[in-house]
Amino acid sequence: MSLKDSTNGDTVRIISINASDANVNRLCSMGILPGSDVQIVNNKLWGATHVNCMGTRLILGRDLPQKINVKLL
Amino acid sequence: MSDKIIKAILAGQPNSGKSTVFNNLTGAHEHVGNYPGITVEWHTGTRKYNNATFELTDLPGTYSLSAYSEEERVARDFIINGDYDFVINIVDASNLERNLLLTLQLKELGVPVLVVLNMIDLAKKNGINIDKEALSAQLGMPIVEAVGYESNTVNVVFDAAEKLYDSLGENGGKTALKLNAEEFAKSKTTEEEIAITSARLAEINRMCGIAVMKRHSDSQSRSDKVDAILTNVWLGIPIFLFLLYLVFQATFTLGAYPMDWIEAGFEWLGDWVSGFWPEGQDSLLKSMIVDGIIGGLGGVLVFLPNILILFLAIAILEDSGYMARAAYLADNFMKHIGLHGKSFVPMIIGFGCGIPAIMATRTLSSRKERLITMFIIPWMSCGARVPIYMLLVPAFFPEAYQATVMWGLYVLGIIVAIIVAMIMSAFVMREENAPFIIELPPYRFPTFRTVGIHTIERGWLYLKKAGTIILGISIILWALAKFPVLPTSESEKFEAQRAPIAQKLEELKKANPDLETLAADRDAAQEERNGLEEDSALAEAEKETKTAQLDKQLEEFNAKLATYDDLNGQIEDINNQEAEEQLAYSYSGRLGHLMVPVIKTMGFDWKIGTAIVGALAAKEVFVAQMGIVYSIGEADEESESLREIMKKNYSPLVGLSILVFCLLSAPCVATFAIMVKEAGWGWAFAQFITCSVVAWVVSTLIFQIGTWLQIGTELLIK
Repeated sequence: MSLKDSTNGDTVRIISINASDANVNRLCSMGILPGSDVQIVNNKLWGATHVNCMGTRLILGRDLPQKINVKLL
Repeated sequence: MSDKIIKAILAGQPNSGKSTVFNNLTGAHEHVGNYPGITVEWHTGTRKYNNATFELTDLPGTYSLSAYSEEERVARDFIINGDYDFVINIVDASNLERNLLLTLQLKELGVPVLVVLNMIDLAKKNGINIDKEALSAQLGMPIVEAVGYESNTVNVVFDAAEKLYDSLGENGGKTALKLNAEEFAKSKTTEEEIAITSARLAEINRMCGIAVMKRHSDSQSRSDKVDAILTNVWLGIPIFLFLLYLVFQATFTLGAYPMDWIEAGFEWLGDWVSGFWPEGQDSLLKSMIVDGIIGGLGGVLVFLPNILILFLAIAILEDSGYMARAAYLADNFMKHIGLHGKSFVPMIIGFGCGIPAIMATRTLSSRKERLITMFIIPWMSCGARVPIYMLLVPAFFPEAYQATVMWGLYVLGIIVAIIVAMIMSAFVMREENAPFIIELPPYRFPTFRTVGIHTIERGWLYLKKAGTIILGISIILWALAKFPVLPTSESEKFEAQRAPIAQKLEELKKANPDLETLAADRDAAQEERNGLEEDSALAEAEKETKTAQLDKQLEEFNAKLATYDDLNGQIEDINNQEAEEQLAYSYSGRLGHLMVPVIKTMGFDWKIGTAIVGALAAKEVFVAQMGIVYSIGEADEESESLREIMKKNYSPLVGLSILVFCLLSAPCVATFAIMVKEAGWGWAFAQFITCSVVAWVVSTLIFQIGTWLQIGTELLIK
């Protein structure tokens, strides 16, 4: 499933990210990469997802959440 | 002991409080913000401490050194090639793991590093206990704890930095760097990058397992709860718009009081300085001081309170952490017009000043989004336009509508910006949009100190600009309006007209020696009558009888003084004609007249033409120039507020046309220059021309349609 399909409060592990190299690298430097765990703070935003990654709150917008494949922990 | 020069660079992730520490260390007051990428250029500062001189360079905040964005490249190149002794790595202790990603990269490069665990108070509050010694041993780097803005930070950091410097020895500690830099900078595939980052994260987890104790804390979840409301699908945007409206309301309503005092102060100063010259005597120096300097500068300084309030509001929004949320909310809309949510931050800064705004666009990683954002920034109505609005809006609009008109101007600027952005993204730059990733820093109460410093700093910059550039321009504009002087043949013509009337007046005065006292008495009566209306202590009925009484007195005075008034009036008319002719003869007047064919479609006369040329130097100069033109152009000795003068000479429709023109027209030269630097000559010229054309078209439409419909074409004071 994608990050977009997760429910608020879920903790998920990232499996893969299907975005351009530049974007994968950018996410990577913020600690979002395959193998890392993120918690869904709020998925009910206009096309965006608010996540908690290592204590940092990030908003991933536009179609990025759909491009991140995760599994529920 | 000889003086040491210690060169250090500050590196850290966005939101690590790096700029606060830098300001504290150097004593400089650099812009401090709470959203990603506030440091868009290198800042350097020096500070003497004990026997050492510290030379500090503040690098842009970066999450990593992998060089995928412009800031990252800048930071990495400086770390590898720059001239420095060691790196001071600012780490947000409340967000340790992710911040250590950068620290590990510094370690891999092999540069000497001093780690500053910043915001240690916040970390403790969040239940994060860091064993400083254990972490230091794991990283192999000295570590100090600090709270960015506290004065003690200076001692703690500099003491440790000096110790580190002394331990580096003759060759410095950068021998390892040369060996590692090549390997580090080698380009890697995404897979490799992920593998390396994973390894780093594992290493961080191992270290933190040893050195960090975490207790559960709910301070982050408090931030999340606030976000549940402020970023809510339905509430977020209305709250956002409401906050913006509040900011502008506060700027203009609260600012009105101190404005009145400053205005009164300058009027008094003008009269006081005029008092040094005998009445009726004309002196160039007096004209320069009173008309040029006091008239020009006063018109601009009056608006300092508004600008301070606007900057204060922006500082509070930034420092509280709301700006990052606003960027997300804005992205919902921005993506449709080819912009990024983060474009919103430079755009908001643009309401203060276009120059830092254009520089702040560097945080945008996509070229397309960055160029479009820069291009539309001049339509974000900057603080320098505030004086123009504050002069004209109260002059031409009833009090009840003033805030709305002001709000409307800002909105108009935004609408034009949106349209241009849409056109550019649809036709000029058809590239794909970047994705949206933004960090939400925890909400914090803005400290009085940082917000205060920020506001005072901006206010000081405004004052400095007023004292240097605007003062200089005011004097130049004054000279352009004063020279060349009318040829003697012309002024003799006026003198010939004036002489017989003046003689008649003298004779009249001789025949009736009490005329002057009578006139003075009338002025006193008039003043009393004017005062009556505002006198709240009097009962309504009493007021009426008194008003009637005074009116009758005034009538009697007027009857007795009829010839005297008539003669004085004639002289004044001639004086005004002469002054007007003088102005039209001056360089400024000639330039203004040349512009008339183009600007008359907007309802502008040549006097406004000279002011819009002046406004290219700095927007506030528009007000200064109107003040200069009219104080030279009116022989009237009494200083009259510029607002009254505008009301007497222009209709509300022309007022609106000026407002819209000033909002939309080309940015000031300083903004143009920064645009050249950031985007190149081509884009800077394209921007200049687009702004000018758009402003001319919209103002012309407003004036022509208004004239056709007969709306606001009557003068308010005749």
